[in-house]
Amino acid sequence: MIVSMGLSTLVYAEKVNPWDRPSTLEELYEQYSYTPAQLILHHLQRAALYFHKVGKDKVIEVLNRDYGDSEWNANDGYRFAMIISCKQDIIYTHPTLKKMLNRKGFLSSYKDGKGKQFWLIGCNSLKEHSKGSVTSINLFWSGIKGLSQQLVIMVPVPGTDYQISTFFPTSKYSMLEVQEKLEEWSLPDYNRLYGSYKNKRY
Amino acid sequence: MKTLIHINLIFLILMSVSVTASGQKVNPWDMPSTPDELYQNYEATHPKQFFQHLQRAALFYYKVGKKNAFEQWNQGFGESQWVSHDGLWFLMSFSCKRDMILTQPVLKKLLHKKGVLSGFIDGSGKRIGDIACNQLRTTPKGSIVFMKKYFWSGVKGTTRQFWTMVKIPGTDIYLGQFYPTQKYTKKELLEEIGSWYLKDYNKLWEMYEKKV
Repeated sequence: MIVSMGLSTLVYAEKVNPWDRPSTLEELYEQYSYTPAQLILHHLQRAALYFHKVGKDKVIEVLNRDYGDSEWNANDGYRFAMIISCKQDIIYTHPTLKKMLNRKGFLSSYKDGKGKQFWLIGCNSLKEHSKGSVTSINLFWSGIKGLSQQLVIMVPVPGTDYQISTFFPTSKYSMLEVQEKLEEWSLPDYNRLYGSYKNKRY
Repeated sequence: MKTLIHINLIFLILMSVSVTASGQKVNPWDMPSTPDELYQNYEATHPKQFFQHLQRAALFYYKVGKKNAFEQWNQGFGESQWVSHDGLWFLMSFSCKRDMILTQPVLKKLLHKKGVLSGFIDGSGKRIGDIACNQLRTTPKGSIVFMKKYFWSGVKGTTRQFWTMVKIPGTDIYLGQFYPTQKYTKKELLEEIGSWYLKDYNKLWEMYEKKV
């Protein structure tokens, strides 16, 4: 588990040039605070729209590509998306650890640095917040000493039992704040997709 | 005359194929098919994010080298992190000095010719390539050009768009993206642009442009 958390992004050691990845917690927070949480939510919602556009097999293939090899997982980790299924208890895609993570039971056992089963918490929270859940965690970040405060956002792919999720370091937003804003920030196209499946059984 | 027709044809193709082709919108996840949908789709993202997307690309250039960066920027829509399927993240590189468009996700071979940049025009005949390059003389780090009428593939008519640009410090290469919006004015965007530079981009600028 520690391996999977430590390798959650590309490995970089000491920061030498301005274009290297962060090497301290402060740099990590600073780098991520440039991107509003709203855009991170939009990225996941667009991935859900893309799921419907190209179908399950294709979306799994694309989201399993390495960092920088598709629009969904950027080299710098800013835009990152994984497909999971709470119902099936499986992580379906990950840009580097795809084979290792794609096992039943892995999702619910995935823990943060303090032993919190955060995806299980996120999945349960979706029962109350059906359009998307936000969970606060303390997670390792490759190349950085100590734990960073991060938020996990999960959005359902309407009409399926899959969810799209990402995590990002932040010292700026609280879990409650992002959860409360989620509805307001939601993309109109995602709202339409969500609405068109809301009353359907699947 | 024949050359003129050829050039006009290039621009017509250039403008209409600027994003992936989509026909009638059937589902909510399809690409926009009306100007209203197009504006709505883009206006969910602040122009600052487009501007920072380009700055991150400049940092990427130094991280992986010119060859690798160019290879990625020339990949098709959705094939790399730089140009997304929905056209929301989009990037092309150009050189004012060489009067060339250096990378473009679809039309790379067609555009990679001397003179195409300065001949780049919008639907009202405005030479946006020339305007952009001239503007960059006064604001060398980056700028914004307003396009009154610009085609968008799969959408009837023309739309109001902005072309955002930043320089790759230490080179003669600029990175640019255009995006449709009804919401902002050129004046208000130019007033704000100074506060949109990433700290890491500024460090890069200090290293390469303040040497001389």
